[in-house]
Amino acid sequence: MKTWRRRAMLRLASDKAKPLSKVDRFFLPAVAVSSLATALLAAFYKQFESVLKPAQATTRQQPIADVIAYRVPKAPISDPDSPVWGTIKEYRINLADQTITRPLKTTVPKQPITVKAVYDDEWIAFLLIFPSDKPSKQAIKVNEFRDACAVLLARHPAKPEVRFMGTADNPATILHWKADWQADVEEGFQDIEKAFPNVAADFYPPLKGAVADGKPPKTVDIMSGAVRWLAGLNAGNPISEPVKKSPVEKIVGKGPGTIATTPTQDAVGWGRWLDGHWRVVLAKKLRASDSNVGEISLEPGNVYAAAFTVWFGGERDRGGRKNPSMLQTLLLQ
Amino acid sequence: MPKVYNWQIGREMDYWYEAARPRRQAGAVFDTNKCIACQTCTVACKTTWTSGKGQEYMYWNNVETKPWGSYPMGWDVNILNMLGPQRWTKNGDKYVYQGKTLFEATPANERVLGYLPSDIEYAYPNRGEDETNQPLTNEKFYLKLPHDVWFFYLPRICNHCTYPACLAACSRMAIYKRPEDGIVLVDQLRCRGYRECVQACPYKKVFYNHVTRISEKCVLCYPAVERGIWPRCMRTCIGKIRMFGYVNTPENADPENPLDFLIHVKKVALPLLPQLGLEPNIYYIPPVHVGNVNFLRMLFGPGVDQAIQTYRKAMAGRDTELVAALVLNVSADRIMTKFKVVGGSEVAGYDENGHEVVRVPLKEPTVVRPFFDEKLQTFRHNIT
Repeated sequence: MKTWRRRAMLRLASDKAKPLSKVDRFFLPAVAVSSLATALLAAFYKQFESVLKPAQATTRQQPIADVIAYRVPKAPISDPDSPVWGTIKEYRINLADQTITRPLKTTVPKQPITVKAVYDDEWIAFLLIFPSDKPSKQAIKVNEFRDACAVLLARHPAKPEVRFMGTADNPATILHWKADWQADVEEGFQDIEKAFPNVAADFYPPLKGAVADGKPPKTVDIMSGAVRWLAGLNAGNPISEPVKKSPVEKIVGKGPGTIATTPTQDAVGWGRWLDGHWRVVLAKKLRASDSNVGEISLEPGNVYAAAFTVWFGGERDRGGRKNPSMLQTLLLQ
Repeated sequence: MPKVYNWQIGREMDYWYEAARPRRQAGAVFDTNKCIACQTCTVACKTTWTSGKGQEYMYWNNVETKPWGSYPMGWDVNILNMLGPQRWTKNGDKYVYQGKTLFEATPANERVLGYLPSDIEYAYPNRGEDETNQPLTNEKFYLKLPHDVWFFYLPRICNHCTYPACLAACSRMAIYKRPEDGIVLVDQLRCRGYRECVQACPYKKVFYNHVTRISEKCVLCYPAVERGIWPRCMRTCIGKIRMFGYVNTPENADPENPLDFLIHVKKVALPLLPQLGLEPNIYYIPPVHVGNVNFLRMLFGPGVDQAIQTYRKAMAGRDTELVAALVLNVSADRIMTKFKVVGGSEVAGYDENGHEVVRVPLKEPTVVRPFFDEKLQTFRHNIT
């Protein structure tokens, strides 16, 4: 047997023979028991910490925001090409499918969209940049659908379902930009002749006599009596209004299928399509003008829930056929 | 999806909402044997409701020639192709549909199986008009008609279905079925122009307005119906092919109600494409002269053979009551909920208060005038 091994065995034998002291006999088990109890208590506390100490409102917590809106002297509320946007940090946000309520959209865009946000004393403005190989700016023919995008704003913290048009207890304020509305503002109402250049008609009641040269009058020129034959317009539906003032509609939603145009339409914005991308600005006033119907007011220093959605007209997107983002946190820095 | 009972297919089926039948259901019977495709109904509707800008292509009422006519183009064959096999079996004296309805054949990401026509498909409302089921054969000096050449006219409006596909497809809930009369309407304030209804309606009777950019459809002239008056397309029918009123379910059928009598008692009036599962409320008396009964079975379901037999019997003068119900067609413009044969030679129609609305002879008297008019000293020709 080797020397080192023999020595070790001798030492072990001598230890065994030596009786334990009183301190060793009581102190060591006590240390072991108290360590175990401490560990158990720590685990127990961790388990119930969330119950004992609920999360505080994030307006006080100041979490790390997904998107920060930066304060600027004057927000470019209708200019997607303003140099102000060049100085603002951009956020890349992935769009998801829509699989909550049918009809679904199960395809997902390959590229994320770019989002920037700024605010001043009166307005908050968002710049959304998303790809669109060919802009769809018309919704006149039955199978034509427009490009569109939207920003959803709601109180924070928000349940996940707020992402889909808000909930009854946390209504969503939605800014909805429509490419065809912008064409109506930019070039005048996109009448039936835009889609059907050779359209001819003999008569539209109650216009007197035949229509000159078979060419129908412009919708915006139709006399008030004839508006009865434009049922949507007669009912006051904003979709049917030929004289558009802004390409952005301000909407409040309290769940899927509930969105309603707010009484005060003061949201603004503008889009520019260039090189396969839309650059769209959507802006609203910080102070809600329709708080009685659930519009949100925004205050600097606070955090809000936000989501961004794109409708690709070329893919026949409309209504629930859309690509929304997940719910993000928005901080007005 | 909830289960609802559809008596036209003899079984329960899936539907987007729970069953909620209206207190009474407005409906009509069209006798295709009498339709001459004069399009008076089409014009009456057009001038009343769809002469505005953006409605130029809309025909809430149209009359198409079958088998080749269709508006929008191919609406029927397109949806039948998408639906797949449509088999019926007979269970006692009742037919049960074994295939899938539009709601049962719906893809997982949609609400209702359907398709969106293009503007080109709406461009030719008269395509196929007066075209026969076979081409004429070219002889040396003339065109020869094949022996069994046939076609017939199919007037179509919104069916104001019991289970409307347009209503099921609208995620905005902008389409509603009135509980008081079952008329299906598009809320012009709520609609946002998604066109899910245009896509879902298999009969393609919801239309997109190019100018207001929202959907519109037949309103069954509800302002008139509310006052007990027939819709415009029905009361202007010069061929007197139409009977308007209220339809009950088979178990509640009233034999004195002209519509129930034609649909449930005599079973001569059949729904259009019942296999789609919408329980449409416009019923058709099938044309008796069509050579291909399979074509009619496809359009009106398996009850066609019996309906043709019953109708022929009446035309041969062997069913006075049925003739009585048929001669009431467009005899007045007031809604009749009862009818009665009076004295074996006349039929009377009554409104819901029991007031007599109209009384017409079962057989129009024929007067033959002498060829030479002695009084005026002139010859006359009799015309019909």
